[in-house]
Amino acid sequence: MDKRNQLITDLSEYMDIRYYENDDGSLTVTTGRGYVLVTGSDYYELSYDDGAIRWESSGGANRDITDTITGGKMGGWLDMRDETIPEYEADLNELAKSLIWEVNRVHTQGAGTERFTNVTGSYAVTNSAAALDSSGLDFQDKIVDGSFQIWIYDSNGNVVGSAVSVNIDADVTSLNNVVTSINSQAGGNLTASVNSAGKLVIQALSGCTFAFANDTSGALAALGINTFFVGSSPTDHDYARFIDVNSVIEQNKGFIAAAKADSSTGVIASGDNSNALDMTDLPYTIVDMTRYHYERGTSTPSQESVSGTMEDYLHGLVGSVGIKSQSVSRSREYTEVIVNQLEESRDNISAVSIDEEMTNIIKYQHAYTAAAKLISTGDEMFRTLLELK
Amino acid sequence: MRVANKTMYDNIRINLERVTDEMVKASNVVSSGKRINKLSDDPIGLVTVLNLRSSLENVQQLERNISMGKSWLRAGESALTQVNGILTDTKALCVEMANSTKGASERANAAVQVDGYLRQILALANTQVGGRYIFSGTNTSTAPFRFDDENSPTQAIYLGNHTPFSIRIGKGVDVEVGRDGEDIFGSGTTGIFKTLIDLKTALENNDVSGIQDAIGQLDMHLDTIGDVISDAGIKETQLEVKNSIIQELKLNYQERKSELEDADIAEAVMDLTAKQTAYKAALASSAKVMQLSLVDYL
Repeated sequence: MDKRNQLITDLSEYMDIRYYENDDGSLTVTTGRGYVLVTGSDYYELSYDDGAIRWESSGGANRDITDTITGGKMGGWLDMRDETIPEYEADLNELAKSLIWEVNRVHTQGAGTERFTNVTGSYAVTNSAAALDSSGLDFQDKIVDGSFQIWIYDSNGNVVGSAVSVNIDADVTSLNNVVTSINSQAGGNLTASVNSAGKLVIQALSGCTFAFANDTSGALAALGINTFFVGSSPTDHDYARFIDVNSVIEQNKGFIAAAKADSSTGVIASGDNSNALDMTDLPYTIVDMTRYHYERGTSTPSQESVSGTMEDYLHGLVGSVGIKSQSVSRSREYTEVIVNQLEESRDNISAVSIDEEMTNIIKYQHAYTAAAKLISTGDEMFRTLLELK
Repeated sequence: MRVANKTMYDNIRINLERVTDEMVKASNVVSSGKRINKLSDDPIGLVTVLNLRSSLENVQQLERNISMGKSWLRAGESALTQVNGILTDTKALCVEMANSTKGASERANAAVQVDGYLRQILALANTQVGGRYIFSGTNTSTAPFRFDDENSPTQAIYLGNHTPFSIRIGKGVDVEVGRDGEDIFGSGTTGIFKTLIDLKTALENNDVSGIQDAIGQLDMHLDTIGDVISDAGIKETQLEVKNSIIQELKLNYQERKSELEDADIAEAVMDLTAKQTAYKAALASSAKVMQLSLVDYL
């Protein structure tokens, strides 16, 4: 009996269960939602397969009962795995995504002290003939109608001709159109192409260099050209994992775009800090972001749009982790008190008090002594009687 | 009430655990000097602390910007003050040389002196701070002025641009601390260089009316330079004012951050002592109670 109770107690530490005793004294144990685990001498096994907990019925069919487990250690682990961690992961990812886009959007407007001789985009299209806003770029939905410029410089650093101006009509212009537009205007000083990975490549010829300016369309940031950050996300949650400084900048700090090419002459002044000053406004820029909320058992998280600075978003995230952790430790304290109280009540009835047992021993010892005394008295009486002659 | 031995031991363990936990927390507060050691200690306070931290960093950056701006303005002011002195000397020389008692050879000597002044002003116009030319606009890596002919200049050429270098001293507030050199010194056929070059030629040619023309020109340039110097002074004051505001802000942020984040050490130590006493008392009473049993008395 005690051993069986102990096993039930052990099991209930892992998950929420119910049990009742049958007429014949055997037990039936079910999960909190009523899936039978043990009844009499029959049992049904739980198994773990590919992230799901499965219950196997007598027919051999099995059923995913992951989301019905709410209590015990397993319930806690599942809450952690399917609610808490994905939520923070999604929020951090959202922050990284916004950081990449907002910083790159400003950075692509500028030029560094170094100019490009060749550049390869960091984001790939899946279809170079499709309009940019549906071409498979990570940030395709951020591209708007507009244009960007490319200035070309000769080997002495003097501006060649006027700027190559590429017009973007987000739902019409394809990457192939961009390539054609650059090649037709560059007068043989630049060649643009799409490489096998689907990224835009621009190469300067005959000792020329080039720089970018005035991107009103967001196309450069979306193609990953002249950006500060790189970070692509094959699934939707990998921006926080893959965010990195563009290797072009890592190798040569001269590509940090602190300056802007003059919009009419294309000249880049070495001490120009106008783009850097624009960048310093970024902490105050209001950005539309999304906060995610995961609930076990629902396939897609609920989303809440928030507007604020990226810093606000981060602080909100940190605060919510703190509040959650605080409330968890409070409810843990509370639950511990309850558990202790219940254990105490149970033990006060079922567990042993040495004092009580010792008292009982003495008590029964005395009773035994008294009974023995009765026997010896009786014996004496018989002996006396039998000695009468 | 019936109390099982297990209950008694469990209670002792739970109470000791609780008191130890509290003691460790109190000791953490004392040893770190911080009231908030974990996110969960005070989430709301921590978010405020984070905001204050980033405001502080922002303010410290502005402080660095201002200190850089001040060194640029001072360098500019000192260069221009020297130019002002040279122009005043030149004017005095002109007045002297315009006098009809001066002869061709004296004027030729004065021409050599003016040539020296010309080169001094060129050097001042090419003043650098930390390797950057301050009169070059934003073209700070290029010396703003050079003569068309190093030995016998006929005019100065400006190589900078027309966007003065500016620094940020607050949200959306930029202050121009560099200068468009051409605005001050002129280039080609106008400006300070041209006046001095013409003066030099007039002195060499013993041309009194040319010398008199130069006096009028010099007065004009002195006005320009004076205006620029006073403008630099105004900007410097602006930076000073901003700097003192920033210092106050910084102090204010630091105080608020400290109030939220730092532990009151006296209070924290008292708390730790109290917790230690409680722990000792719990240990002593537990040890005594655990020893007692009816078994010992039989």
